[in-house]
Amino acid sequence: MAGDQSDLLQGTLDVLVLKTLSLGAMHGWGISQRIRQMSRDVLHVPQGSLYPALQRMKTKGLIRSEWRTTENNRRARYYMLTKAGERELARECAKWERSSMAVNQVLAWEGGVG
Amino acid sequence: MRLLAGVRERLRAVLLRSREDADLGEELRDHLEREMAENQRRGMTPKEARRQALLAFGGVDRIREEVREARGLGVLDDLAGDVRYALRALRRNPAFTIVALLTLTLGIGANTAMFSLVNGILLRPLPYDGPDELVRVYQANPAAGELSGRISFQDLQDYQARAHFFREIAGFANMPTILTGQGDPVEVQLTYVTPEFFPLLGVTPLQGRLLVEEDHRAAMPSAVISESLWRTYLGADARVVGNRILLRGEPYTVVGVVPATMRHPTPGTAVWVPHSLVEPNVFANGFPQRDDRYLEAIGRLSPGATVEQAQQELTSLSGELAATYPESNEGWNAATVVPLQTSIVGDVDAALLMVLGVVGFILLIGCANLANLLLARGIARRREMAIRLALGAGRTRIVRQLLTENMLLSLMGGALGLLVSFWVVRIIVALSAGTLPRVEDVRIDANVITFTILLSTFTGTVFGLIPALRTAAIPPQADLREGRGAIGGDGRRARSALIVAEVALAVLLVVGAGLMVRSFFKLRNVDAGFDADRVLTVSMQLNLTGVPEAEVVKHLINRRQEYIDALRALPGVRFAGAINVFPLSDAADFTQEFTPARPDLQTRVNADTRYVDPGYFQAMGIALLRGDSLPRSWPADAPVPVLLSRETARRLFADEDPIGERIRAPWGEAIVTGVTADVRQTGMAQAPEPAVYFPHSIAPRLLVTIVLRTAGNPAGLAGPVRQAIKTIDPNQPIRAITPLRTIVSESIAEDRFFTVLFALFGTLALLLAVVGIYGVVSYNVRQRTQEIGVRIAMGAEPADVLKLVAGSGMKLVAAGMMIGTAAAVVMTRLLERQLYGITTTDPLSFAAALGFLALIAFVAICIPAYAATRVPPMIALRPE
Repeated sequence: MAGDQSDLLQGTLDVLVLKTLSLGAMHGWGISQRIRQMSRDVLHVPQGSLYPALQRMKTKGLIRSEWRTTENNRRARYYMLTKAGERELARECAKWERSSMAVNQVLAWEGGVG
Repeated sequence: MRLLAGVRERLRAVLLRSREDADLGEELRDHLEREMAENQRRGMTPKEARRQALLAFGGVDRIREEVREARGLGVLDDLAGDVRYALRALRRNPAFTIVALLTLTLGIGANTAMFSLVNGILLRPLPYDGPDELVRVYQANPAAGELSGRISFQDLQDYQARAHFFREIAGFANMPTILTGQGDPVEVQLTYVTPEFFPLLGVTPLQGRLLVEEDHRAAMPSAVISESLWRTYLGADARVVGNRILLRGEPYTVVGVVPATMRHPTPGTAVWVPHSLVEPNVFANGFPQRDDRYLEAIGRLSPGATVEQAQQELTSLSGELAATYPESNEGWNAATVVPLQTSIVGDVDAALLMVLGVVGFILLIGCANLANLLLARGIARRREMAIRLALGAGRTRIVRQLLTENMLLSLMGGALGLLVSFWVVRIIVALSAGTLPRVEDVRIDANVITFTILLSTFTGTVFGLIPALRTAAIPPQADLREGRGAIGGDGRRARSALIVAEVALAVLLVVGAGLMVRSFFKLRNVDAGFDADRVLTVSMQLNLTGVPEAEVVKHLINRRQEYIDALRALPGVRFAGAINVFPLSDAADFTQEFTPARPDLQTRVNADTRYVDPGYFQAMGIALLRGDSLPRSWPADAPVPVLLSRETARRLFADEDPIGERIRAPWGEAIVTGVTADVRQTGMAQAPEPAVYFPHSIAPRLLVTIVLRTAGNPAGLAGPVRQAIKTIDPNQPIRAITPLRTIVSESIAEDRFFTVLFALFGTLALLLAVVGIYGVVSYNVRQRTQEIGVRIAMGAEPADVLKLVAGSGMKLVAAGMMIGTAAAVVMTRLLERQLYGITTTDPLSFAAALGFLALIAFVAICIPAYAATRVPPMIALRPE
């Protein structure tokens, strides 16, 4: 998941974060860990992209954050989905499905043109 | 909701910037620690774990920066930054900041003050329901030149019954009366109102109720009193309703109190009573006739009706009345309807708006100066801008930065201006000396504040945009290389254009001021027909309390004579006389039609009719041009003697000698005993109207003004006069004891006020323009120091240098003066109504104003130009 295709990266990263948070509130490190686990270690989220992305989504009102005390008494900023974030996730999932299906169809094409 | 959340988040980001940064730091530290822990769990040494974690992290500062960017999302964050930067820049250059703030404070303050006057006087609606529907109604006699005449009770009733464009029309008549009962008797104004009056205005009483239909038929007279009478004279008694007050000894029941906001259309009235109580002796036959035009009228238009429609309707109604009742209404075949607000404000609207325009121009001149300063400063800041450009700042960003600076300046100037305007308004109101209508409505309200904010924003853009664009248009490389560099030709052109513009504006204002001043001096020196020096006037309304009805006439004649005789006997009094309605007073004059009692003369004149004591003319210094003054007595069977003013004599008898001729008045004949000089009765600027003078004994009046010509200072006699009157009747209230000089001076107070404003603002404009010229010329000299040094080194004489530097400055001034003069010729037409005795292109005023301006500009240019001649030639050799 490292790379320079920042447009794809950004859009994709946002939807991955939203998905992660739909499973429950989580702090920044947890989000990156979870994405790594869920992608079976394929997708590594660079922190340099994660935190700006979180801030951006917060500004857009997709997620909100609060400071919580965690296991062994540490403080961490937890992020959670807002209603708008849930809607956005549903929208993005549908979009992703459509386009990935289209890409698959293109890649699986074996017939001639026309 | 989502949008709101975004905005909230952004605001939070800007406001809680440092908090957010700290939070982010903690968050990132937490992340790092977790990553290290995870790495260690996978078996790395602590050191390696930390190294790997940091590696994966990739630069905390970069993340911070990016988060910050994501957080602020541009504009708002940039703005905060711009403002901080601008404040720093302004602090760094205090001299510039102070000059700019001073200019802006004065300019915006003057504009805010003038606007709050315009707002209070012209824009603020009257404090009644549906103020736009309220109008003043006048009957008009166009042939006699009377467009705002009064109405008879009968005509009013016909109007009321037949006009459809009016929801209601009401009549009223003011009349001074004497209030007794508590302490000294005081003279107060009484207004008789028809039943429609209060419902028409829609006033809510402070206490009790207003006059209703029944009051007009009630046996016991009722009265509504003003808040100020209630507070000052009745001690704000909460149980005043039902109490009695004595007016000329007659009891009236107070039924209500109206609030002080009900000022119009009867300002100064203390008591309103039903119209049915008008005293019969006001009328020739004991009751009102159709030719007794004594009522003023107001109306409320029907919904949707326009003033024009209403006026047309009443005009055609008046035409019908004139046809039906020719003996009383001939000539009164028209009507005038004007909005109530207009009738109150009168003709100050044009003058006020003009002064508002004048202060607007002053602000523009100030803007030109600031733009020039900024252009010069822009050049000084080229390095700073070039460095910022080189470091990658966008040009729009730099323009925005500079505009923020200017906007900040002008908003601060606006805030200070708003503060200053409080005092400026007070000064202006004090200067107006009571001549401005509705000043009580002048205050700083939401309109005024909005105006100031808009004006400040506009100002910041006007003076800031061009310099900002020019400063940002600097090619970056050029300036980093050169030290100071040559100024661009465009910069000089822009500055020159600004100077030409501000000189032109200053010419406009100085010429305007010149015209006003000259006109005012003409007005002040006008021959009023009397000699105002060392004359004291004593005006009063004769006290009739306790005088039986049958004795009234005799009492009025005798009492008046007693007062005149007593005052004449005072030491220091040379002559004494009296008149019923004094010249220049705002009491309504009374005109009658006169014709020569000679079949061969078909002339007629509508003459101002006044009733005098024969000593009046001598006391006033009114010249008797022909014949004799009025006799004190005449045979019972002889016609009444009359004096004609010169204008009356001319209109009736042309060049013939009128002495001994008889003239016919509506009530009989009179014989002319003499001709007097014309007197300005209505105002110093109004040409004298034809007048006739009868002995006061033929028509005794309540009102009297006794005129005393004194040997010394007239004001010193006030005490003895008061005492003498008190000796005769301790209950006689005195309305006023005023030197005639004061009366004359007050009658032109409005002209003086506007003249002073114009002169003041003209001077300010001149000052600002001169400062601007001086600044630009001395800046040019500094820029050209080296060139001038070379010229001197090459043998140029001081005179040559002077010519070079001053010449280019004077060229700009000349161009500005030419444009300004051309503009003034057109624009001063607006002043036409304000000017007396001169045309709007009065050559003397123009010449004086232009000469003065040229002289001052020349001095302003010569100071830096002279400095240029002292440039040491060595400077030419010095490298930059």
